[in-house]
Amino acid sequence: MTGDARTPAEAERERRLREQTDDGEIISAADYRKRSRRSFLSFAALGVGGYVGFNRLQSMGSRDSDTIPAALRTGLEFNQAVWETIQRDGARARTFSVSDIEEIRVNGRHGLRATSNATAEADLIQVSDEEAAAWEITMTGVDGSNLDPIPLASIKSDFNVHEMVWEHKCVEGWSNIVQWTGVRVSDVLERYAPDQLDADWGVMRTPAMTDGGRQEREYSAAIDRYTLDHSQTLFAWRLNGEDLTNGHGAPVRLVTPFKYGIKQIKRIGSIEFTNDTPSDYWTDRGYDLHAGF
Amino acid sequence: MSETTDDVQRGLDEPRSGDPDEFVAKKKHSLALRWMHWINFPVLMVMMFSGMRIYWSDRRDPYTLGIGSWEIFTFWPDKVNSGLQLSATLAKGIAFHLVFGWLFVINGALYMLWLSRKGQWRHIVPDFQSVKDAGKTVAHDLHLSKKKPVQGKYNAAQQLTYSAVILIAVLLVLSGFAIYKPGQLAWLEAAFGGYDWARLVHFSATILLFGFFFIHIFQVIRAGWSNFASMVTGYLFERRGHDGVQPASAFGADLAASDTPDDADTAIHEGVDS
Repeated sequence: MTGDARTPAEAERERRLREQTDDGEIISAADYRKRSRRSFLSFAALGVGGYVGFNRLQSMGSRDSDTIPAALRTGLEFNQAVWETIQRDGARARTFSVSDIEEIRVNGRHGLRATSNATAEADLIQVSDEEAAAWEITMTGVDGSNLDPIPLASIKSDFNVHEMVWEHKCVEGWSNIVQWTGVRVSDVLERYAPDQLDADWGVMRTPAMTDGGRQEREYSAAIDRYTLDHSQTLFAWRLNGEDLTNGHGAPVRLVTPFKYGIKQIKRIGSIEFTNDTPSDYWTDRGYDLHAGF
Repeated sequence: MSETTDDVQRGLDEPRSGDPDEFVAKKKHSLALRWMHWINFPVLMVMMFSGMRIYWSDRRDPYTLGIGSWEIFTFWPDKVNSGLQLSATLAKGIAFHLVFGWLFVINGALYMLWLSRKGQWRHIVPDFQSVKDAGKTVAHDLHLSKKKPVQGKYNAAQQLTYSAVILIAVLLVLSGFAIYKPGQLAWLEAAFGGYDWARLVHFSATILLFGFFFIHIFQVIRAGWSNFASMVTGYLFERRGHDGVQPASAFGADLAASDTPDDADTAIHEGVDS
């Protein structure tokens, strides 16, 4: 007798386990061959079909422009429909204490650059103190009419100023806890665009500025109504207690913990209200129109 | 006894010539299970590939395995990036990930429903005895012990592994949603200890699943053709009159090559050893 034999307890356990399992129908070898052939043919067909389908999906849209296939765009729209259905007005992003604040690098410079691929602060289009003092955000309504612009001076002095600390999240995967100083977008729009509060979208743009002869391609971010109305969505002019640098979006930018950084447009020059589904800089390049949390 | 030994060496894939009735096929995996299994495979490939594209869009602070400043492995070596052509494909990565993720979620939800409604969870969920027995299965697979593991549809090690994989998948989905919607699901983000932890959990769970995948493939190859075929056809081909199901090895596949009736098996061992 060796240790390899089943003990009575083991045999009983095995018997019980097999009892649970043993609902299997039994077919003859001939039947099996027939079914087996059919199964493997279906399996192979599905495998090849899936592979070909995936490759087609994968190669749609040019690689260089980083756009995405229409089918995936539809998928992203489906995602948005799901989240719009279950989203709550009371949802708040987590906030932190001032002692948690981290440094944050300048990542996106689109719309701010004086020379192509500029990375240094000095190579960005500078907004002078005079320009900043006279800065206005122009607006167009859903009917295309021009509205009275919002003076930056009014933004800074006519509304409740909030200091909020939250985690700024980049679509690339990194995040930093930062403090913003600003006023609620909803407060400002209530005063300056009371007729546009029903508009589904506000498309914000960085103004086309020239400096050193080159005009940077305009940056834009389409912001949905939910986010415009959200109490954590601010027009901000200070980051971690310091006035915004050019790279971080001087003189005024949008911030919200409900969107990736690509939506938190720097140096806002204009807002266009619309009910038509818009596009914007990164949506044109294959990213989700909402890019929201 | 020599006949049994021949069977062991020859395997049970094909009936011997001239005796077609000696073999029968016994139902092992239902059609639903086979669909769910084979949908999962390409979906997970797409999820991992698109996840890599997302992960590699910021390379400043990669995850590393190590202690303190001593780094054993950095995720991932540059060759992986260049080999998979991951550069500048973030938009595609996100789109694929957020669309195919639903397939994984739906497939997983159906699987859980199937496990619970069809009573199939009994094959998977380990009891205390399984926890104690798992080591024996591994010892058998590593040829440290000749004793075949107690075998239901799955053995103890399989039960533990498959249950762990299900938990890992749940963790993957939950941490994924925490990363995806930290605004609407701020509570879920907080449950993982914050955004960074949710990302780390998501990444680690992926690595574990990736590890399971390789062990699974290895064991399937080891177990042989008829075991693999049963996941396609649903039937396990075996000797007529064979009482019970196919013995299996740890981590995910059955060892067809060691398929012999228990009494004969015991007899062999007793004969050899005593």
